[in-house]
Amino acid sequence: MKWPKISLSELSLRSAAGNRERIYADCARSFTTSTLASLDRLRGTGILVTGASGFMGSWLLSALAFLNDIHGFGTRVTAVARHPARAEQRAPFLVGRSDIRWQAADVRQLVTLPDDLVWLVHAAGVPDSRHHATSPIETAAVIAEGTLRVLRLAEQATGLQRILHVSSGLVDGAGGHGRPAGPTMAYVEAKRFGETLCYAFRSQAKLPIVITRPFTFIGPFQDIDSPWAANNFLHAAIERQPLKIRGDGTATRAYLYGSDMAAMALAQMVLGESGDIFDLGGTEAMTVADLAHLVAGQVHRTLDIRINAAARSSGSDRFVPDMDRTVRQFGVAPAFSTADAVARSLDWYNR
Amino acid sequence: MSGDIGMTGDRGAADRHILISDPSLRDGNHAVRHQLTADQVRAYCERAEEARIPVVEVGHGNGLGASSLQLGEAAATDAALLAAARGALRTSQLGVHIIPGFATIEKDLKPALDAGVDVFRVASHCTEADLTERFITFARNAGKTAYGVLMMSHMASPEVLVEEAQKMEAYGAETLVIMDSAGNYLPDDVRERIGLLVDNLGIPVGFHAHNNLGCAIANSIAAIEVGATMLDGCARGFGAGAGNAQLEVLVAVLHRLGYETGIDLYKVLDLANFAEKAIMDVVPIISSTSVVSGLSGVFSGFLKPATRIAEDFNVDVRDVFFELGRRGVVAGQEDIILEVAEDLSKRAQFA
Repeated sequence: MKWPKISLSELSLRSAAGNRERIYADCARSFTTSTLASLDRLRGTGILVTGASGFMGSWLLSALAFLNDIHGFGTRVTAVARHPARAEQRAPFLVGRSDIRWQAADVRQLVTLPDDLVWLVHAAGVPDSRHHATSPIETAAVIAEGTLRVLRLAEQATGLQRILHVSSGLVDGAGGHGRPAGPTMAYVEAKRFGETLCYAFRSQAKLPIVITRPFTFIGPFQDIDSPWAANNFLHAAIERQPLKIRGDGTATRAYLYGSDMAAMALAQMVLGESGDIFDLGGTEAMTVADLAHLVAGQVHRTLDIRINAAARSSGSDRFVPDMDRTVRQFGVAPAFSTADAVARSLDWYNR
Repeated sequence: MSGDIGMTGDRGAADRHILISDPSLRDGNHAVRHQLTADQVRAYCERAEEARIPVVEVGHGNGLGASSLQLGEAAATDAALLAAARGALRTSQLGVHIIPGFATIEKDLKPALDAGVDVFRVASHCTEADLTERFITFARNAGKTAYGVLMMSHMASPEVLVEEAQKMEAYGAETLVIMDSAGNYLPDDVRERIGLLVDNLGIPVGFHAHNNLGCAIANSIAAIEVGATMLDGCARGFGAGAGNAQLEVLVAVLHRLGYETGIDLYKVLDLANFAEKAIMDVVPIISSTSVVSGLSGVFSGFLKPATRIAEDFNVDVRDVFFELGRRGVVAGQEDIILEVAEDLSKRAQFA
């Protein structure tokens, strides 16, 4: 039998289509009928997303593409990223669409916003702690100067209904005086300053701003070589390596799957009131040791789980969001259990 | 008769365990101008395995890929030394020292991975932790144990050491080791630095002593008194200059203090006897020059070349050391010895 000749670009298109179907299937679970109804105000509007090639950006764009393709939302998306080529690698199905216009720009040098802008998600900033450690100046500058730039431009946008400012869960609880500066402080303090800017522009310029504070996520579009517990476990499981737990394993997290994150973030933006501050993360708190066992259990192989007992006890290391308001007030809840999220992630990264 | 020693003391089980890493076959290579042979490495490793030494570090004195005209050409390749060690070590782990720049990922780390190295100790000068990111990431993503090592730690303030250590932790280092490369510390110096590191890191902290001022054992004990859980020790102190903390003495002292190392005392005493007889040209002593090296804060590895060059220029090596200390030289800058000796010689001629 003679196989039809397929060009490389066609193969890549097919692969992109495969990715899209998987992501759309996830979105179909996360965007329930009631969530779709509550997002009705997005229909036919213009939305701009900064940090569009990152984890949050990729999922938000995927969700908007899903809403357009499957539910006819007809939103027009402007995707701002310093390196749109990264989106081509991460989520190639988001490139080359007529409803997503990619704009290669450093958010600090953004000159104008689209005329038809109704919604703005400011998600620019690198959450990778390695980057914070090596480049604290750049880390702080992108967040502080970028947020200032975006809010200045937003002052000129006449039809703007809501800005969703993506802050960080680390801002909450990082207070106190006399703390020594450390590698994460540049990120956390810049994020805190970003929230202060939001307050200032809300108060003085009357900009309608909702703040969301991301906690811990899991799913496609992450760099699983980054030294975060969940990514470590996924990477190790795929590579058949021991799952190494830093500390005594009692650190507690609540992971939110990517498509659930997109649904909840969009609901917070559309339904939240200006001045609201929401957490954004999972509802199923678990220790990292439990997560390691969950990952190990799903690969159907015996995996060595190593606890670094010599590390200082993490004690009260608990980084868990308060999702009650978002769930209760807006009626959106995670569709993926952590077990589901781990399964989908393993499936995605295993390919 | 067994060399196993019962525990005393009333500390908790986790607190009582100290991980001992033995860099005799790496740091000791400085003492024999990097002339260790594969046969010597194999024979030593067989005995280290019997003594249940947890980690045995092997290679050129300056680590993987460092054999060169400037730093000293090794008698055996990294590949030959690692193969010899790997063949002899079953339960003991095999470690390597890596200084980014001397070692590269493609040329050195990948072959080391293939050779079965378990522990990658990625080192930088105490203020240059940024250089280690890719190397730590590589080792960690390969499922191996990655340490961050800050060399010449006396050259940075305790606060700067913490900042640099936090960078290595952010990159994913699983243990942070500071080296007293010049043997400059007294016990209070160690307590201050290690105490601060333990308070500000979430990973285990280790200490690598040199004996220039006769404090290697006392400094190592000072380190664990304030929370270090990992110590380096070399058989008979076999290491650069005045040598390191003497492994068999360290083990004996730790056992007497009620710490557990898992090491068989009789076998480690035998190991030291063997090392003295079969591997070492001379047992390290605290020579007068070593005292000066420690006082001036110059890396012990400068001892042999500085002594030789001082003789060539007919200048006092002690003057050379104090001038090198004033200039703040670090390993890899051995060329400056020539410059300093020449200057001193000219000054003497025209005085």
